[in-house]
Amino acid sequence: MSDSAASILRLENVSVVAGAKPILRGVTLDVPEGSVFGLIGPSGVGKSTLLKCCNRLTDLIPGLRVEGSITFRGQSVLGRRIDADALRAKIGILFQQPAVFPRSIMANVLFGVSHLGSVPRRELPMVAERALREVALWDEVKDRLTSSAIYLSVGQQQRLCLARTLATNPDVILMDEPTSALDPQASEVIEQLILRLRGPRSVVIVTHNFAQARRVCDRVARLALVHNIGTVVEIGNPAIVAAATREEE
Amino acid sequence: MRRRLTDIAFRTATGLCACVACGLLVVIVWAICQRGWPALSWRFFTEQIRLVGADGGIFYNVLGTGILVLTALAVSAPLATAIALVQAVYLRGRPLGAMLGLFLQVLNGVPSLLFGLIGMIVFVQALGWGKSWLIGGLVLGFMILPTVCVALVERIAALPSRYVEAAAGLGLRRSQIIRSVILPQTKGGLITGSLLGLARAAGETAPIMFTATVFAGATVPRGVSESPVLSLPYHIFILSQDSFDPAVVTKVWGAALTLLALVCSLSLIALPARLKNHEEANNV
Repeated sequence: MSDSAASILRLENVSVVAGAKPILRGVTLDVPEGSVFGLIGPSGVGKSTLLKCCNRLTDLIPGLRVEGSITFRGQSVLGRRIDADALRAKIGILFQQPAVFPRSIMANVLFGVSHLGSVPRRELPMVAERALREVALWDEVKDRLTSSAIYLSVGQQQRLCLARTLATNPDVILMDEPTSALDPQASEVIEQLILRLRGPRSVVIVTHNFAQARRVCDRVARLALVHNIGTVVEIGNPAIVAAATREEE
Repeated sequence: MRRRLTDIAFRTATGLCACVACGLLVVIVWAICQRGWPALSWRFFTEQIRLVGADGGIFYNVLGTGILVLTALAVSAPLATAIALVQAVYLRGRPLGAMLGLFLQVLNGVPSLLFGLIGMIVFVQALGWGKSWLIGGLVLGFMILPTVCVALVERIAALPSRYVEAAAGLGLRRSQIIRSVILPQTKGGLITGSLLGLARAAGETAPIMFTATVFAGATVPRGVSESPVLSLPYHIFILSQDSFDPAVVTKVWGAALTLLALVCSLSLIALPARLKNHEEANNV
């Protein structure tokens, strides 16, 4: 992935404050379009918060204030007049724990897209099949689409959540430690999917696993606590950042 | 050894407290059943009150209580849902939300007699409706509002944030999240709160004695104004005060047993929905 590729997401001097407590300070980074961009660093450094700033999920957390500039395709993300809901349809998110709703598999895949109304009703089954095929889940669930999704394995649930996000056709997918709740086999499947998503979509992934970052990321930003406030201390190729971190340690 | 003894003492004390609570309920239910059972018959449930309670049955009293309880449910459920959503979703983490919670607590502490008096002053006298089943339902509905609200707010607060975040992350509007995620997954709270509230409302006398109910002479309400109903609690209240006739006393116990059965059946009706909700919550 070339460094000169156009940015799809650009963060400039982003700071986050919870009440009076600063969590993140002065974060500046570019996410090139079509790339997999990793946010790595120890627990409690603010990686997940930074990720949620990108699609304004931080709006849901009372008392959290985001300052600085975030742009998505050159358009401001943080402006008061920005339609945060419409923005989230373009910048999807996958969480650490799969959050499937107590509904059927089909209803879960179509949960977002059917509410957005962006696809005619008659085309919804095709959208569901395409999304489930994209996450390699179709063959496993095609005969039980009307069964409850809560009885799927955790790995399958995570892929279902990814399919649900893909069904809304987002440009960017934010992933918050998407494999940390999964066994090695299910983690590998998710990693393969991330690699397949690269290109048509951009991915920003939070991980504290350097090995995973090396396997799936084109670039990484390493976050660390400086004076007890999270900030980006290094950006670059994952192998080089990992090596530099080892030297520091 | 000392830790073990403390553990045993604690377990025994809590077990005893639980036994006291259950024993109290068993004694009350047994006493009511024993005294009320002889009064129960087909005629008791299908006839209207006669000879100032010494003869006839409680058909219109059961019907009246049913009308009052259902009206209270129709009033409280949508209002409580709206208030709970404002408090737990729109004003979450804001001082105004905390103030709304405090207001509900104060409302919960208002004696039921005051609800009755306010209902009488506003609806019966100022608006000139006279005694009416609708006023009774409204007053009872307002009275149980905090119970239903608090149960629902607690349920919404206990909903794992990942569901709301997942729906918001897909681009759903807040109203869509409420309709598709919050309400379906917290309906157990609405059911539980409504049942607790209605069980209380079904047994209340003070809020309805000035506003909605009479001892005798009412049947099926045919309008809104000047349309009182008979009710079980008021029936029990009047007869237990004024009558020394053993035949009437037996019928009073019969009415009390019917009221108890009505309250229990409310819980049983909602049991499948509550169990389903519980099962889903444990499987997710």
